[in-house]
Amino acid sequence: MQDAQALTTTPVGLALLAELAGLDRWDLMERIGQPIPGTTLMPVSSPGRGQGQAQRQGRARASAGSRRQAADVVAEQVTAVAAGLDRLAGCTDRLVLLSAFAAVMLPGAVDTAAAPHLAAAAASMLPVARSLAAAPAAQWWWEPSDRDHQRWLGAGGGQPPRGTVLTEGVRAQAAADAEEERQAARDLPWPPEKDKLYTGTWWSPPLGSGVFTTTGPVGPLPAVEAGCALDSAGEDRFDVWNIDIGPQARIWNVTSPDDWARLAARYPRDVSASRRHDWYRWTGRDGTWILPDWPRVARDWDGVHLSIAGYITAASGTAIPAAGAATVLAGWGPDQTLWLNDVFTATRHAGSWTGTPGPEAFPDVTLPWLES
Amino acid sequence: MRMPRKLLVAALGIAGAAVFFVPGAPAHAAALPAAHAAASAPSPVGAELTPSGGASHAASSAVDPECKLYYMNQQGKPGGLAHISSFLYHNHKIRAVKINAAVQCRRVSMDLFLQVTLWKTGLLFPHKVAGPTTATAAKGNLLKNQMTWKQCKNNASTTYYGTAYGRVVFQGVTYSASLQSGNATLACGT
Repeated sequence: MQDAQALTTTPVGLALLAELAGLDRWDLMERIGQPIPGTTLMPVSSPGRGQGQAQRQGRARASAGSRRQAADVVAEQVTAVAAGLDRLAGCTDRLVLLSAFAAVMLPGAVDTAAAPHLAAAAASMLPVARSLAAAPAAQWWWEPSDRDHQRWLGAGGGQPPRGTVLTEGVRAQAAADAEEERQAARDLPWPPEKDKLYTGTWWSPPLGSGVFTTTGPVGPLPAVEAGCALDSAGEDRFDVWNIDIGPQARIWNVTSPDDWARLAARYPRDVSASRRHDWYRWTGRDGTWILPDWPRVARDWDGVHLSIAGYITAASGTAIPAAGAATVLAGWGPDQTLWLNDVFTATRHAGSWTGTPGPEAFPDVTLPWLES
Repeated sequence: MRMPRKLLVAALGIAGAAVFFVPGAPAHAAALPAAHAAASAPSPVGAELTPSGGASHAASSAVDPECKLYYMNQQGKPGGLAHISSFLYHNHKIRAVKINAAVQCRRVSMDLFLQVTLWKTGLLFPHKVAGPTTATAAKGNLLKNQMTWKQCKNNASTTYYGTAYGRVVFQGVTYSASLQSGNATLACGT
C-alpha cells in the first residue's frame, strides 16, 4: 500500500487532491474570504464608479457574513464526491491521472494562494489521497524507472551520449559546477547588498552539456517530460529516442524527501554560494546547502530516478534537512532519470514530436468520477 | 453584481522613481512607466485585469472574469523574476535569461493576449533584451507566456526585469493590465 498520507503534506500534493475531488480553488478562496495574492480591488474610474464600489463593498460584506472555514468547504466537497472516489480508486487510465497532476504541477496564483488553506484541511483530503494511492493507474508513481520503456527527447539533431561521452559529460559538468561555486563565492555577496536581488543556478540536478535524462512514455505523449515540463519555452520540436536500460543498472530511486536527503548526505557537495540567494528566497533558510557530488554518486550508481510520488512529496522547493545542512530538490521533472553511466543496451530513434511541453501537451481529458 | 476592478498601478510602488516609458510596449502598456530604477520598491506579484474601453458597459456587466496577471517563478508561483532557464540549459544546452508571465482567470474568457518584454538596466536607460513575445488563445482561463529569453554571452553581472501586458475579452468587454517585474541580478551578460 502506498503512503497516501504523504500526498497531503505538500502544496502540489494537496492541489492534486483538490483537482481530483473537483474542488474549485477560486470558489474556495471566495468562500473562506481570502484574496488571491498580489491583487487589490480598486474602483474603476467610469460613470459607474460609485455604483461599482458600493456593489463591491456589499458583496464583500455578504462574503464576510457567510465566511466558511477551509476545512469545512473541503470536507463538504469530498463528501459530495464520495461516491466517485471508488471510481478514482479503480482508475486504470494513466493519462487521466497524469493530466490532473500536470494541471497543478505549476501552481499559478490561485493554487499558491490556496495552499496554506488546503494544508489546514489536509485531514479532509485523506479519502481522496487513499483512493489515488489505490488506483492501478497511479501505482507507477511510486515505482522505479520502467527500464523497458525509457524515452529521451533530444533537440538539435543530437544523439544520446554513450560510453565515455556520457561519463565525461558528468565530469565536465561537475568541473563547471565547481568553478561556478568559486565564482559565486567571489562575486555574490552574502547577505546581499540592500535593494539587490541575486539569482543564478537554482536547480538541483546537473543539467549541462552531456548530461542525459529520460522519462517513460504515457498514452499519446512521447514521454512524461513532454507533459510535465518545468520552465519550458513555448512550442518546441524534439527527436524522440527509445532507450533500453540493462537489467544490471544500479538506480537510486527518490520517492520521498528522505530518499533525496540520504543521497545528498552520502555524497555531499557544498553549494551554498551558488544556491543560497534563490533557496533563501524560497525557503527562508540561511545556512549551508548541499547537493549530491555527481561524479562520486556515479561510482556507486548508474542513474538517479525521481518518481512522480517523489516529485509530489519532495520537489516543492522546501528545505530538506541533510547531514547537518539542508538540500532542495528543484528543476528535476517527475519520472525523470538522470544517467551517470552508460548502462544502455540499445538506443533507437523513434520519430519526432512537436508541441508545447507542459499541460498543454495533453489531449482534453475529463475526470470520469466527477461526471454526474 | 460584480463590477470590474481597477489596475493595481499603486502596487508597482513606482511613486517617486525615475519615469521612463517602455519603448515598444503597446499603447495600453505605455501608461505604465518602466521604472528600472525601482529596485527598492516592493516586488509586485500580480495585477488585476481591468476593463479598457467601454467602461460604462463594463460597469453594468453582471460579472467580471476575475483575471490576474503575474510573473511566474521557476516553480510556477506568482512573484517570478528573470532567471536562468533550466529547460533551455538542459534541453537545448543554452544558458539563457528568461522571464515567464501568466494571465489566469476565474471565468473562461475570449481572445486572451499576453505580451512580454525582457529588459536590462543601463546607466541612463533600460535596454530591450528580448521580445516583445506574444502568446494568444481564442478561449480559456489560463494563458502563459514562457517564450521570452535571451542567450547569455558571458557571466557579466547584469540586472534584468520584465514588462508584461495582458488582455482578455469577457462578455464583450475588454479587460487589460500591465505589470513590471522586480529587478534580478544574474551572472549573464547579453
